[in-house]
Parts: sequence; structure tokens; C-alpha cells
Amino acid sequence: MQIALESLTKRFGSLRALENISLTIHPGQIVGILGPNGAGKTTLLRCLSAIAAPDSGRIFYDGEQFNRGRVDLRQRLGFLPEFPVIFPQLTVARHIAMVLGLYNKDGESTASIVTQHLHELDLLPAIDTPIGQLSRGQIYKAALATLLSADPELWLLDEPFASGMDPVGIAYFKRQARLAVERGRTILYSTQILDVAEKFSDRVCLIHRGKLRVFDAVANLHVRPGGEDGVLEDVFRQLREEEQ
Amino acid sequence: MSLYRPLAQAIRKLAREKLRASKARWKEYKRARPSVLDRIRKRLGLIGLFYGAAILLGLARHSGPKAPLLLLALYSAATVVGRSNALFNTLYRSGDLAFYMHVPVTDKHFFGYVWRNFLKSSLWVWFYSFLAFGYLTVILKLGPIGWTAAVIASTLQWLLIVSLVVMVELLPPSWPKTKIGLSLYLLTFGAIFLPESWATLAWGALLPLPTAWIPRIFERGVLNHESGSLYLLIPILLFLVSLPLTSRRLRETYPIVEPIYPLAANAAVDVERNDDEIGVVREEDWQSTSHEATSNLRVTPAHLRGLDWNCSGWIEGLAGHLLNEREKKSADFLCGGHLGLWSSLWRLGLKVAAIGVVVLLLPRLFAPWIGIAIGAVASFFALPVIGGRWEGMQLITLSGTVRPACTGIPLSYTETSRVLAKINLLRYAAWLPIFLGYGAMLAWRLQLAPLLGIKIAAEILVVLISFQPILIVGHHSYGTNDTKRLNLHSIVAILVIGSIGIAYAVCLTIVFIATEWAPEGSRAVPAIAAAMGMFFCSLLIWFCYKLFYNRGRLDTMRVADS
Repeated sequence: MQIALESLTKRFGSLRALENISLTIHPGQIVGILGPNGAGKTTLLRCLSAIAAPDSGRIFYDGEQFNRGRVDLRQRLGFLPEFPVIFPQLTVARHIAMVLGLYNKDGESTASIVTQHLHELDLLPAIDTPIGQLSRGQIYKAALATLLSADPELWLLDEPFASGMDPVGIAYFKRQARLAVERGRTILYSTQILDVAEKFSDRVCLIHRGKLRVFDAVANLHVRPGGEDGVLEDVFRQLREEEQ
Repeated sequence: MSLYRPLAQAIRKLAREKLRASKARWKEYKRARPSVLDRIRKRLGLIGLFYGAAILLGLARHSGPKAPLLLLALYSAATVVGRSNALFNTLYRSGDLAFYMHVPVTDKHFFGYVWRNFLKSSLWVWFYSFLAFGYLTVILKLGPIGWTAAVIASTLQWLLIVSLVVMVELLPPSWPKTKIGLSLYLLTFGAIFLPESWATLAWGALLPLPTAWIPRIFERGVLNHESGSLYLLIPILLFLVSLPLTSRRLRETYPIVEPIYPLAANAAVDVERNDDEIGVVREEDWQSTSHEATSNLRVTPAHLRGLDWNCSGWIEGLAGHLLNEREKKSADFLCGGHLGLWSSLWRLGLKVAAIGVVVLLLPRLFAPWIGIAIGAVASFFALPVIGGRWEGMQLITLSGTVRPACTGIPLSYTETSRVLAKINLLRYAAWLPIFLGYGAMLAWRLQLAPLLGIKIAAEILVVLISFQPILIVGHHSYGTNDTKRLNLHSIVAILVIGSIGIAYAVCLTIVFIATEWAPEGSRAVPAIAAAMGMFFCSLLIWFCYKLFYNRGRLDTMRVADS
């Protein structure tokens, strides 16, 4: 799914959470959204999933203008917040089934797909456990298994690497994300872990105080003057110095 | 968490000094902190309690001087059980405890913090006691002696309740405190409506209750100038003397059991109850499950099947026939994956209505308004008067914001509305015969024609149903920022929707006037026209909000209140 943002602006009172953001993301990429705390990363993901309403500017998915009324487009994206929304008393299997039903992904092959993901995420023994009894990382894994099973064209993930998932879960997520990108899926995720962002992303999108400061391929950042390993750390340092 | 208030104040002072050095940061600080109005609003919550007390006493006024004392004794008894339960929960399974377990604080320190809070909140007992005794002092014109007695009696009552709470707290925690406390509170509420003769009887029956002793001494000693009840002071003083001992014992024996987290406690109960029923895999089994066993586990189509609409009650069964496949999936989410509430609420409503019928059949014992009130309560249970409860639209807190659970899921405004409307209308249809029947019964009790009762009941239903689209808007609006953040779009929306709302109110007034005051022959046409106008306005409000909502003119989240 191709994403185009056109002068996207979002304010909360006097705070400009996003200011005039314009960019285009082609399908088949992993884009890391970076920025200090409160920079606007989550707000961007919320705008892209129609939870937050931009004050101005437009969002296009495959050339079609996106808004909350476009359920057809919303079914083509999946948003996984830092703390997934769950009904704690439901079992893992029921919860996944319920959400997949709303994505119209409850066909005959779904059970085996879900089983596969849960197995890889070491969550299979918990299928009949109420989801509220799981740890934070396990809840995130259950939500991730839902996203992977729904396999939408656009994945939006808020801080997947700070979600409490164990190394098995993180490795599986990375592997699946890479495979998904090969299938033409687009993945946007936010993170604070710069090492991961450099190695995992095809592109990075750095936001600071609501403004887009860097949007470039990781490979291009490395060829910048002085840009070697840790290039993102340098960019962050510059931003802090500018601010002070 | 006021243990470290001085430190918090010092940090705040230093931080503010530092922030003032930078204009931008000071501005950011001022933006981020709650406004003065917000802070005042939170404190104003206490006013509700004052109103509550005033209403209780206002109602009690009609039942003679014994009623306030009876209410006080019952309220105090309920408070003993309720406060003891609350104290236990705070000490052994509260969020506060969960916090303190993660910081270097001793049990003694935590106990002290909880104890001080308990003492502070127990002052409400003093307040209500003073209200009851003071009220009697005023209406019986007892003068300064009465006021002095009221202060002393309130203080004694407060200390007695505190000592009783601590004693109850020391009892083994194996009895159903929540249920008993709730029953006593309900009894207190019910006592408001007791006729004078019954209140006198109940007052006599309460003598064994320690919480009735001080009101009894006040009644006999201050109101009747008798000294016969002064002997009750002996056990009261014994209780008071025991307070330092019992509180010390409570402090010394804390913690007597391993503290339990709220979630873990619930989980333990759930697992105990449901293991065999739903095949839950216990964590220890899970951890020890061999790789072979794990690889045999799989999600089957049975796991992925949606709700079974035919196995959850008759209303749910009908709803299953009424909804199409997509709507069932939406309803599955909106119900939070659980069915059965509507039928059980209908049954509850039916039981309450049956009590109401008994009340209506005993005209010498009960006033007609009690029957009306019971009928209203029954309908409130059985009907989605305020739109029904929908788990999928409940607010969840995420990173300082609240948003309905259904946002982020591909569910449209129209889909959600259609499910809500269909289910709610079905519930209205299911309750219709009982509602009309109750209307007829009520009319008979009021010595009116039963047909008139049916007609009025039908009119009420029409009004309630016409309001449904607005309630659906309310469900959507509840989690959004539409009234929290004013901009051009939201102001226009509020103006448009507000204007239609006024039109709805006008139609409602016309219906009311036409059915009540218009000449007999010319009622039907304006009433029907106005009723149709109500439906039209209500649907128009739903449609306007849909335009506003679907075009993404508002956030489906807002800043959390606390």
C-alpha cells in the first residue's frame, strides 16, 4: 500500500503534535519512526489509523483519500498500539477470532495460520487462557499473532521493541516483517532503540517537536558525511544541541 | 499517595524555578498541568455527598423523629461492614499495596498511611451523625443543650464505628462482607420509605445493634428526658476503651497473610472455578509442557467460532436471527465476546415488576408512587433506557488518553449503529407486553381506565424509542473529543446538532401537550405528526454526527480525566 501524507498537521491545544508533514512511502518497505518522547510519533500512527483526526492535511492510501468512514481502507491496515486493546476475560483464541472476523479473515485456513503464529510465538499452550491472565509481553504476542494472521497491507506498530516481548517474539516479528515486505506489505513502526532502527528499517522518519526532520533510506544516512554506525545517535545529538 | 508530600512540594518548587528560566518550557509546563477549573471540578465531587445526605434527611422528615435515628443506626451498621471490607482490601489487595511493594517502604509505614486515610474518611460518620442529631435538635427546638448533646453523640458514634470496624477487621475474613454491607446499605435506603408505624417497629428491633445505642440514648435522654437507656453507655465505653488495643493488634498482625495482587487474586478464583469447565491450561502445566505436547496443540475452527446466539437466552436467540453475518461479528466485538446479559436483565426486570404488582395489589400498605417507582426500576433493568451497555464501546486508558475499545478496529459508525439499534429495539419489543400490562395495572390502582394506562405506557415507549438514535450518537460521542476541543468543525457540528435537538424538544412538547391538553377529538393528528417529527429529528442528529465522525473531524480519543 502506498502512503502519501500531504501537509499533515495535528494540534492538541497550543501544542503542535504534527506540523506540516508531507511524505510518500512506497509499498514494500519497513519505515522506522523515530523521535524524542513527545515528538509526535504515536500521534502520526494514530492519524494513520484514523483514531486521531488531523487538523489539516490529507492522507492517501494508494491514491485514495483516507478518513474514518473508509472502512474498506481501514480493513487493509492493522494498528497495534503499545498496550493492545483486549477483553481480559476472553481466551486468546476467542479474542483473535473475534478481531479476525472483523477483518473478514475467518476463512477455513485461518485456524492453521493462527496456530502457526501462536506456535512460533510460544503462545500455543495459552489458547484457552483468559487473555487478562497473561503477562504484558504475552498479551502483545497475542495481538501480534492477530495482526500477522490478518496480514493487512499496512502494519502500524507503536513501540514493538518495547512491548515486553521476549527475544523469541521479537525475532519472529522481525522475520515475519521481512517476509511481509517481500510480499509488498508496508510496515511503519515507532521505536526509541536506534540500533534496531538502523538495522531493521529500510527508511527512517525522524520527527522532532512535530516536524519531519529526516526521511531517508538508512543506506543514504550511512553515506552522509560522518555517517557510519550510530549515525542516528549523531542526528539525535544535533537535535538536542539545537534545542538547547 | 501523600506520604512524601513535603518532598513532592520541594521538587515542584525547584522544578518551577528551573522552568521559569526558559519561557518556552514554562509555557509547555502550563499547558501540560491541569487547569485551575479542573482542579476545582474534582473537589466539587464532594458536594454530591452533601446533597445525598440532604435528600435522605428531607425524605426522612416525613416519617417523624424516629426516622433519622433509624437511618443513622442502619447507615452506621452498613458502614462498619463496608469500611471494614474496604480497609481489608486496601491493606491486602489494593493498587496502593501493589505500588508500595515496589518501593522501599516498610509494612508499618504502609499500614500507617492506610490507617490515616481510613481515619480521615471515617469522619463522614461524624458528619452524618451530626446531621441526624442536629436535624432533630432544630425541628424539636432543643437549643444549646441539644447542640452540645448532638456534638457529643456524633463524636461518640464516630469513635464507636471506628472501634467496631477494627474489631470486625480482626475477625477471620471468611464471611461475605461485600454482600452483607451492600444489603445493609440497601436496607438503609429502603428505610427512607417506611411508614411511621413500620419505622417505630424497626427502631425497636434494632436495639441489639451497637450502632443503634447512641441514637437510642439521644432519643431517650435528650428528646424524652429519660435516663433509662444510660446503661448502654457501659458497653459503648468498653468498645471505645478497646480501640487502642484492637488497633494496636491490627497494626502488629499486619501483614498476617501473603499480600495478594488484585489481578492475581481474581485469576486464582477464576482458574479454580473454570479449569475443568473451559480446559484452562494452568501456568505450571504450561511451563512443564513438553515440546511434543505443545506441537500437538492447535487452534481449531471451534476455537475461532463466534458467539453461539442460540445458547445464551431467548432474546439473544432472537437477535441471532435478526442480525446478518457481518452484524453478528460486529456484535460479537461490541458485546466483548459475551452474551446473555439482555435475557438475564429482562428476567431481573420481570422479577422486580412482579414485586411492583404485589405492591399495587396492596393499596392499604403502599402508596401508588411506590408502585410507579418499582415499575420504573424494572423497566430500567429490562430496557436499554440509556442505550445499553456495550463492552466494545467502553473507554480504555492508553498513554494519558481514553478511547473506546472499538477504535482501531475496522468497524464503521453505521455498522456499530445498526447493531446497537437492532438489539435495543428487540429489547424494547421483548419488554413491551410487560410494560403495557404494568401500565394497565397501575391505572387500575389509580382508579383509572386500564386502557388509559396502556395508552400512556405506549406513549412513554414511543418517546424512549425515538430517543435511541440520539443515544447511539451519545455512545460514539462519549469517547471522542467533540465537546472537549472546540474548533470550527466542532462548533458548527454542535450548533447544527443542537438546533436539531431543540427541534426534537419542541416536537416532544407538542406530543405532550397534544396528548394531555388538546380537545378530545383533535389529539391524534398533532400527536402523531409531532412523534414523527421526533423520530425524524433524532435520525437527523444521528446522520449529522455521522458526517462529522466519518470525515475524521474529531479524535476518537480524548485526554483522560485523571
